[in-house]
Amino acid sequence: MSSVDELEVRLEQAVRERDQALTECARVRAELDALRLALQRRGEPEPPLYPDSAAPGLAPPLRYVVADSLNDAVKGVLGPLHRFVRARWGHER
Amino acid sequence: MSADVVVPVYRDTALTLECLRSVMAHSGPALGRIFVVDDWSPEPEMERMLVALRREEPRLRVLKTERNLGFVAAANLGLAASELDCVVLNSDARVTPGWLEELTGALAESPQHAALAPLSNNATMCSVPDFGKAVPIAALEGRHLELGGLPRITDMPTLNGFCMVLRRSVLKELGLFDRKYGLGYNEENDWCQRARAQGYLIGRANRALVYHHGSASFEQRTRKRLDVVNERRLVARYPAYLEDNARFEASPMARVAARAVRAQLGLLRVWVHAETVDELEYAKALAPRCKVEVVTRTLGTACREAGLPLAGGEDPDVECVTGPVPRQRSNVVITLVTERTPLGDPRLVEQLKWSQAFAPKDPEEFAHLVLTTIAALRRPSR
Repeated sequence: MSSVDELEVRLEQAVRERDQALTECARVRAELDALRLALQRRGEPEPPLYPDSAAPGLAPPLRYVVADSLNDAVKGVLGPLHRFVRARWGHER
Repeated sequence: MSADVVVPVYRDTALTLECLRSVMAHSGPALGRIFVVDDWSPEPEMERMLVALRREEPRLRVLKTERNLGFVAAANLGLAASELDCVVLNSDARVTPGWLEELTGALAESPQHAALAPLSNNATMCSVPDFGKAVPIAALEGRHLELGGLPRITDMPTLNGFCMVLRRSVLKELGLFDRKYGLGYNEENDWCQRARAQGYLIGRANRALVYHHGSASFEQRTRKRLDVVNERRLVARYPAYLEDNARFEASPMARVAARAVRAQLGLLRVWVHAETVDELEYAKALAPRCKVEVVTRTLGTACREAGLPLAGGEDPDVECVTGPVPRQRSNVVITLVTERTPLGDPRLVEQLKWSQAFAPKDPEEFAHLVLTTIAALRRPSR
């Protein structure tokens, strides 16, 4: 490896280390800032993700789709039993 | 005045390179450093490209995250690394000559502004030539736009986060973007509302232009979900947010830049009021030369037969009213600016009811007069 090549390699290494150090410094500053902001916002309620009539165009999450499908299937296959259970105990709860 | 530029990057190496090259080429002495935040890009060529570009550009710094953090945290990393006023720029943007000088110059001129955003082809309330709508970059690229006659800053309740310059002193006072906004969307609106709550202003820099491809980061479905969920958080925090935006959109100053650009591109929409067959001839004479729509109660069929579209949709830029009594054709009035439809030229915006009376001899002269007047509107007011 020539001396020029070697210098280039060392320069590249130094630049990488500089950017890594900069990243680390920025990470700590950003973390500090996030903690300060979180402290100011403590106690704030989380907005609901789903369902929400304000966003009717959004598809429901998969777990809702699966649960609804299972429910429909059970009601379909065990229709008479379902109706009997509803009639017998449905409105007592 | 100089500013740093923060560019969070994730996907699309080619578009990112285009963005960074445009920043390097068009920023001039106003540019401090470029902080590229590689947010754990899944594209191996992204890192190679950034390393190669860093060799070429001594002002470039590459910050690499240890996992994908999302736009908000990545932007915060860049903002935290900078010490100056700072532009947060999406990697699917492309800047134009003089952009940073204008943004930093306007910010320096107006100390009460916390943040400014440039005009763009795709940036909601900063969009031109159609306010609130995106058009392809090709609609503006290569066209000479004279923006110097526009007011330097238009105050707005918020701005589009694809490109925004943030004042360092306000960043120190308010903090960075709120990481509660997760992967992104509405974090910039939240920051702007925090700034407004402290008495600062937010503005659109009408003389700077940055192109924006738009939504390169997320698929449509993901984008919509992020947008809706984050908007709920935003509105819960700032209940007046939507109302403030609506009030601004209805104000005469909202469309000032969009109309000025439309005038320069020859895209002004002209409404011709016509209730007689003779008056329809005026619209026919004008139609081949600009975008004409007819306002009529009685000539719908005749308009369809003549291939003239009926007025509808958005407000027009220019209205040609054929006098207070339509039959008095000798007293044709071309109302060029109404209270409802202010034009972009600041000279005219100040006189919201500017109008001009003409008495054309025939439809050809009518068309000539209208076009001459529109051409006058395209000229800068300086």
